[in-house]
Amino acid sequence: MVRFKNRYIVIEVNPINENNDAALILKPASLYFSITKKIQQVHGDFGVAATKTGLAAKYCNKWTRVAVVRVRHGAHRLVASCLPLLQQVENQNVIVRTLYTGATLQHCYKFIQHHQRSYLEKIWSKLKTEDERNMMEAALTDLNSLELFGHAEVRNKKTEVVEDK
Amino acid sequence: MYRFYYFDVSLELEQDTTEISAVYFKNHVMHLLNILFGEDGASTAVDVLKYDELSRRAILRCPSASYVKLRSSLTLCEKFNNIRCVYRIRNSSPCLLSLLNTSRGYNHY
Repeated sequence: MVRFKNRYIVIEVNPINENNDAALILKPASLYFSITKKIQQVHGDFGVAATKTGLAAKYCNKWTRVAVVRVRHGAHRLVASCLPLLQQVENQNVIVRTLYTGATLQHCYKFIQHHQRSYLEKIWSKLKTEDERNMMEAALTDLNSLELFGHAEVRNKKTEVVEDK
Repeated sequence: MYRFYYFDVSLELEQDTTEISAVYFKNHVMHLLNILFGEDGASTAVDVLKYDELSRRAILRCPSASYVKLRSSLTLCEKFNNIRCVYRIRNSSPCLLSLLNTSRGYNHY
């Protein structure tokens, strides 16, 4: 049985001009449009045609500025080569760093949780009140936007991982 | 295995226009690669080895790995400066000498 394989690329979108702690707020579809435009520029009509069917980009968290891009297995090399060249999203100059490439959303989920946790530890000392800290923790561990990819399994795996820890 | 692939192509336009020099010819070929394959495709090293302005016929050369890209770009060409055109690929081969003739043109008596 031939199945559709995907690759999930976890990226960090950093604005150039601002300091690292500011939150980056993006509209849901802007990352998708910027990536498609970049593929058109770097890989032409062929690239857009090859990647368009499986392409989806979801912005996970505005504090750590993490996003996940889903691509089909063959076409992932085209997208992966374009992501470092991405310069503008919504008229903001950005730098994109590729953090992780996973074969399933669960792999990415584990990585993102780890990433969010280390970010939280870094800024823990900077937040003065207990309320702020709790709010930040809730904001960083809330990854519900990933479920929009259509994987119900993410929710089930979430409870398993929490129980392990 | 083979380093280069050679094409014998001629450009046919709907209306006859001013002369197209070798530089404009090569620019058009690169433009076609850019449309279909983007900057990555346009960076392939295509060379115009010979060009005849009157018949607009050229011998092109490209690395073997880019053969499919170049051929598909030439096939899907629509316009040259807003004039409808077509690239007739008369012959293509990894060996330059074999562009001289095909067995179709040879009289097997």
